[in-house]
Formats: sequence, C-alpha cells, structure tokens
Amino acid sequence: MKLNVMVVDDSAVMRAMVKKSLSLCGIELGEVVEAANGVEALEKLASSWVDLALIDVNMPKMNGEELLNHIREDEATVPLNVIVISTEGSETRISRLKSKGARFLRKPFSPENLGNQIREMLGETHGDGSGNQALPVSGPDF
Amino acid sequence: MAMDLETKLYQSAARTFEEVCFLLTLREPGPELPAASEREIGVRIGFDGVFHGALEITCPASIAEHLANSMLGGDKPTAQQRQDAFGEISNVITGNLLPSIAGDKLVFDVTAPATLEGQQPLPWGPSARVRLRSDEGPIDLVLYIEDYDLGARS
Repeated sequence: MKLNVMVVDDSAVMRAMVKKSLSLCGIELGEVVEAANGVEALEKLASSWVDLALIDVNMPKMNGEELLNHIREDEATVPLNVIVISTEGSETRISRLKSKGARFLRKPFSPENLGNQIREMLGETHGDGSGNQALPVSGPDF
Repeated sequence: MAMDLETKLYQSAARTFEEVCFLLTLREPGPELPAASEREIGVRIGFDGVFHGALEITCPASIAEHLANSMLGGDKPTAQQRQDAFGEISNVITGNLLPSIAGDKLVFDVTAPATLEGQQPLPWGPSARVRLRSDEGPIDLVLYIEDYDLGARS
C-alpha cells in the first residue's frame, strides 16, 4: 500500500532532506505533499488525503504543537498518523506531543530511524496486539 | 566552568556536523575571533527559557556549500539553499546543546535561524566560544547567555 505523506517544515532544505530520507527508508510512497507551516498544512489537509504527517515544531504562523492540536480537534483529521521531527530536547514538551498521539523523532535522524518509526506506527495501526489505539492509515480506494 | 560549556558546545556541534553531513571536525584550542574573510556565512539563533541568549555560527561559503550538497545532493546549491542548509544545521546544534546545558525537563522557545548580516551585536559578552577545524575550513561558534549562572548548573 502506498503511503501519502505530508512534510511540514518551514525550511525548504529540511523538507528536501525529509523527502530524501523517505525515498531511502524502504517505505512505499504515494504522493508527498509539502507545507511550510501549520496554516498551510491545515489547508492542504482539507484538500488532499494524507496517511502520515511529518511535522516540525518551530515554525512561523502556526507551530507544530498548535498544528497537532488542530489536527486532534478536527473530526476529519483526528485519526491522522503524526510523527514530529524536531530538534526539540525538552522531555516535557516531547511528552506533551506524545500525549496527543504523535511519535517523536529527533534531528539529526537517519532514513533507517525514520523508516523504523513509520513501520512501528503502521504496525500499531494495523493492530499488532500492543494495545495501542488503532488508527486508519489508508484513504478511500480510488 | 566556562570550559565545560565550551565542551558541550563543541560536542553538540561536532556530532551534528558528522551525523548530518559527514563533516569531521576537530576542536581548535583557544579560538580567536574569526577573520572577516572566514565569516562569509553566518546565522544567529535565539533561545528563551530558563535562560535567554543566542548561538551564532559562522563559516566560509565553501563549508555551507558542502553542507547543502550533503543534505540535498544533486545540482550545485543556490546561495539561498546554502544559507538554509547552514541555518538548519545551526538549528540542530542549538536543539542538542540546550538540553545538554539545562537538562531535558525545561522547555525553550527557539527562534528561526536568521542571517547574521546586518544584525545588531548582542548586548552580552560571549559565554563560550569554540572553533572547529575541518577539511573545508574553520567553523566558529559563539554562545551568548544572558545572566546565566554557569557555576550553579555545571
């Protein structure tokens, strides 16, 4: 199953790096959508099907934590799989993000790290007996 | 105590350059202020939390080009891509440095990397300064922390 991914980061270079890592991490990719901040991400989420969002924390206009709050408050996006990719070093903030159902990947990261996080998340999604909440990963059949 | 801060700065930077762009660096003892010719690209990242300050990193354009090439691959990077790549590396260094100084429980707000060109000098003296030597040239890192009691946290 191809995975539609949204990459949200204000740095064009970091978006390119994440996309490069995605292409190397062994995940079958569908469409990759980019957004430069939380506001842009919400707009694109409203118009395209995304299975997984990879979001930065520090961004202008709407940061990653605010974006995650919006995602979890909207019925249409609440089940979205989210991995926060950030330099964030505060366990306090990381715990807060995880409590909202996001996984966390610290920069710098390798494609292997990213692939493992995604595979673990999909494993949870498909019900691996871990007891974690099942989240849908696929949109409607086209 | 300031030496300890410099060690943390060095370790955060060296690890980041190595892991993100395969750039091996050595720490130079007793760094002087970088020569103007070596400060072709510079960024400043501010942080605010239990203490307030900024990290400034400068290097020759050749290093920024190496970083952008390593991060993006492909064609010759544009000037904007070089600046963005250097800013992103600086962001990662800052993100790794702050918890090494303050512990991992405290939350910091970190500003986006801003080019140093045209910025006002910071009102505080440097708290730590490190020069890294690489095959591509020198990289200078200067950490400013306002009213920070280094002794109480080392």
